[in-house]
Amino acid sequence: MQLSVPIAAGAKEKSLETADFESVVREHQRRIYRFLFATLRDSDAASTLTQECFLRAFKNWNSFRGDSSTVTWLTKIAVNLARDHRRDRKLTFWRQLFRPESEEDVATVAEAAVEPRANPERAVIAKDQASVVWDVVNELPTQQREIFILRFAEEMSIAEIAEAMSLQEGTVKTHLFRALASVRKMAALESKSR
Amino acid sequence: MDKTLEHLNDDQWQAWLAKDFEDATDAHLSSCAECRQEGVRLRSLLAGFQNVVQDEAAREEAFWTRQRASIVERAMQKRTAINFAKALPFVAALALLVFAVELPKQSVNPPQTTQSNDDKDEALLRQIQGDAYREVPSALAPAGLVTEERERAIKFKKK
Ligand SMILES: [Zn+2]
Repeated sequence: MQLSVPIAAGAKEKSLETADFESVVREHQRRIYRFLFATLRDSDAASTLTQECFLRAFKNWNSFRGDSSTVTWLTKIAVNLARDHRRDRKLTFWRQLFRPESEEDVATVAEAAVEPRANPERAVIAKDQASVVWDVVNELPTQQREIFILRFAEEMSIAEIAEAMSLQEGTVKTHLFRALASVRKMAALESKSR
Repeated sequence: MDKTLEHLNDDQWQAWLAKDFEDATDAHLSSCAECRQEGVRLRSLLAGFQNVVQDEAAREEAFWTRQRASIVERAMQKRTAINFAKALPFVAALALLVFAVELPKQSVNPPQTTQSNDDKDEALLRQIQGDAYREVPSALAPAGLVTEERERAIKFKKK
């Protein structure tokens, strides 16, 4: 749903009142959190980055001209935050790997290397086919994964995804088709194994 | 070639699932039970994925309330900090202006405030010095009288 607060194109700076901002957060926090959670599969990180997403939106409110919908704009911020987070996580992992100073550090490195999907308990629980789709999605390259989640978990249109990810619609389709091919392949294997 | 006679190929399936398909795909699905069944299976798989994500990301209302409160509070703190940072140069400039205007006034008209003991001592010292200077001309007065007398004698001689 569109928000009534955004500044219309051409309108000059308009200060964002607390109540208005709160209603923006109320309307979109679940969606932003869900996207971040689906793409990172880390509840704490999703929560932290959801807060960060709205704070960045707040800070840059005056530069938002309402060319796209609020949710597309917020998604764009969330996509960038998720990528930064993944990059930082990888950097931390490699830094620790090449500089482990104690056994404790080595243990930390080992923990950091374990992706949430690799959790054996989780693997047992995720027998349901739909959960397996999520596991497959989690293995996809970043852009394919993000596009798949936005399309099928958040039901965004190709045009909205293109806007949120600063890509051409044709590129979004290409990534989406590749992601779907991987999911179909898995689904075919699953159905054969049953 | 009539596309409705062949089963859907990979590209057509992907396009159909992405809801970006051609009429021919639709036509084939309506006439081919096998593809229709596969279509239903794939669509339900994707719907299942959406449900799983929604279920796993679902949180109690208290979670959202807490998160919202935290976001709003931090945003307002940020705004205060930004406003302060924006106002700082003006405050500094104003302070400088007041200083620049007040400083010359103070050096021209020293404040007539209650004098401290040090000030009183200094005033007394100045008075003594002043008196001493005034004493010098009166001390030299006899010499002046002598000069006057001498000039009068000279004038008398010339007459
Ligand atoms: Zn067919």
